[in-house]
Amino acid sequence: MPYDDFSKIDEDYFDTILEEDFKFEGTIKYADSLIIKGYVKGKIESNKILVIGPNALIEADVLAKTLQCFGKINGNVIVEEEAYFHSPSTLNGDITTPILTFEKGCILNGRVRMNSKESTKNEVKE
Amino acid sequence: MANLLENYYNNKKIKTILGKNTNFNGDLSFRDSLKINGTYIGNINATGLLVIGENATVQANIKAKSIVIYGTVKGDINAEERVEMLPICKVQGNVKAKKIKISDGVVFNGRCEIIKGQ
Repeated sequence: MPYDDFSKIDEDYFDTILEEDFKFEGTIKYADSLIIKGYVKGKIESNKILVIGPNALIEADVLAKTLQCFGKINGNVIVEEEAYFHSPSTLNGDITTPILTFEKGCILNGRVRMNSKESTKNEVKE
Repeated sequence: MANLLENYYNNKKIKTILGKNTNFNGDLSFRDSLKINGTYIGNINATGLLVIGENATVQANIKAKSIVIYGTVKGDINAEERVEMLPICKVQGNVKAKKIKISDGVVFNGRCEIIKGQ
């Protein structure tokens, strides 16, 4: 599945889709594949893939297996396998992940920690 | 704006979906339409159509324009227009709406109040 263009993402693959009119404050848990295009404040946990849309604003701590970010995250991020920040996305917070890509034009204000997959997994479990 | 409920019955796709294994805990608001298939605990304050899916469990005080229920709801429901309880949903709480539909086989424990239309 191509992730290079947000508009080309096949939404049928995702079981949770949060549109632009969606505003939520609280905890999201046990989500499998998740697209967020709206506003979420609090905590997000996803077991599989998490996609943050271009107009999304996330003011939350994020825990995911894979992350594709097109929007803005204010919070700490832990990704088990791979994190990809598409231009012009923003991360204000620390990130822990074994594989990380930041495209040209992305903004990062925070610390980066790159561990092996296993130690990141352990951190996720904690 | 076209009637959201009519659109829903004409198979217009609901865009926002909370998946079946998900667990949401908090306060939610939305404008258009939303379907819950998982577990939701907290408050819902919306101006659109809310659909509570077959396997969904919702523990919340709900405020929305129209609400269609197939699943389990515990909490007070307050709809600007319609509430539809369809088989085989379970509702525990008070319901307030302009129009209320309760289908055969629904388990409903609570009070009903019809708001007079203007």
